[in-house]
Amino acid sequence: MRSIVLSLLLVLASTIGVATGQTGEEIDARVDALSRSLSCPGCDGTPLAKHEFPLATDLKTMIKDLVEEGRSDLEIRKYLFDRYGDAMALSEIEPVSDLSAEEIKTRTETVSKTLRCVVCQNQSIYDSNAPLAEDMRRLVQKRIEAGDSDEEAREYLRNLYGDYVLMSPPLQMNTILLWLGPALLVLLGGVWFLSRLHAAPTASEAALTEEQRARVAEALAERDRSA
Amino acid sequence: MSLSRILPVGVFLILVVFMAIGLTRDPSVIPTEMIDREMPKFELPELYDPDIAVRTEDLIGETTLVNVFGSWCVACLQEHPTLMQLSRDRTVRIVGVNWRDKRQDALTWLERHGDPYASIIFDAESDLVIEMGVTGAPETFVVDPRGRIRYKQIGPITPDVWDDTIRPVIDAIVAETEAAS
Repeated sequence: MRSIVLSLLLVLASTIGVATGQTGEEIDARVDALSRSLSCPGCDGTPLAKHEFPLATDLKTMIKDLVEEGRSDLEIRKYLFDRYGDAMALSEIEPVSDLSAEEIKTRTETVSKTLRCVVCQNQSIYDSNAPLAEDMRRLVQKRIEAGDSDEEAREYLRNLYGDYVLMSPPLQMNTILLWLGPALLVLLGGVWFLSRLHAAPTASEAALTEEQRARVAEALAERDRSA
Repeated sequence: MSLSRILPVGVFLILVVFMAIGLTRDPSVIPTEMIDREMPKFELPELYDPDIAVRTEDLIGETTLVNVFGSWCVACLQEHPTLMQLSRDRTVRIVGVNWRDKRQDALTWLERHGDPYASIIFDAESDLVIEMGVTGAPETFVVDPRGRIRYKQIGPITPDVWDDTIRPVIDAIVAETEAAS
């Protein structure tokens, strides 16, 4: 008897999963994310995820049910805020990773300085006051908080906006002239200069022809006579 | 003529060619990376009713123009009559992304100029806009029924832009869908 009930429950559970197209892992991940971004009555503004007292576990179960029903995160948040009001709000945003606030700030700054503002293109998103730059800075910060390395956060934006968003162009096929051009020019200049240097003596030897010399001598003699 | 005479002229000509190519390019237009990519995942409130969430899945199933606009955007007014006409003719579904706007300002703007949108996503903090690689308004994406971005128009959709570039893209998607079914 018990095994029949259990297997019925299992079938039911799996059909719910199929109905909303979510795997068990996806559901758990969403419940986890939601309970980190919400507080609860009696949690004093700290994340619901940290608590295990009866109401807290009930709320987590409720969130899980709503997720399984196929409600969106926004709907679930609204559902809970409608019932418990501001008690559901976190007193401060809990960073997902264990980075310190200071670390996140400096790393966001470092990455922001290497990304171009797509509105005013001669500024980095760190320097720019454009609203879009501000939103891009916040996105960089979110990526870092989510555990991205500096390089991964940069790649994330490069994936959206292309090479243009990088302040210093990467060395690749279409930028090879840009990177090697100056060195090439110096090299060519050097070769040209050296070849001129070798050619120079022969040119000066031929500066005056015999005839010109004779005319100079004559002119000098003329001046001596008239003096 | 000796080599030393030809060389500077040659270098000059090469420079001229490079600079001429450079002049034909508009540096303010950033080539899009998004063509043939999936619409990014998003979940944002609707403009008229913040309690309703609009999601990526809502765009799937029908060819859609996703149009980024704002009440602060002057060039958006230029394309607005074209969008209104498309909406009256029921040519294609248009979904708006109201970008970095105040809700009330957007509502007043729509009341004054008309609302061609089937649904409007309220994106006050560029969440979706950045994921779509948008650099300014207006920008318009053609999204096919599978939810794939097929074209991006930077700047206003004038009747000419519609006839010459966007309509052909939509026709191609329609032909493709018919061939597949």
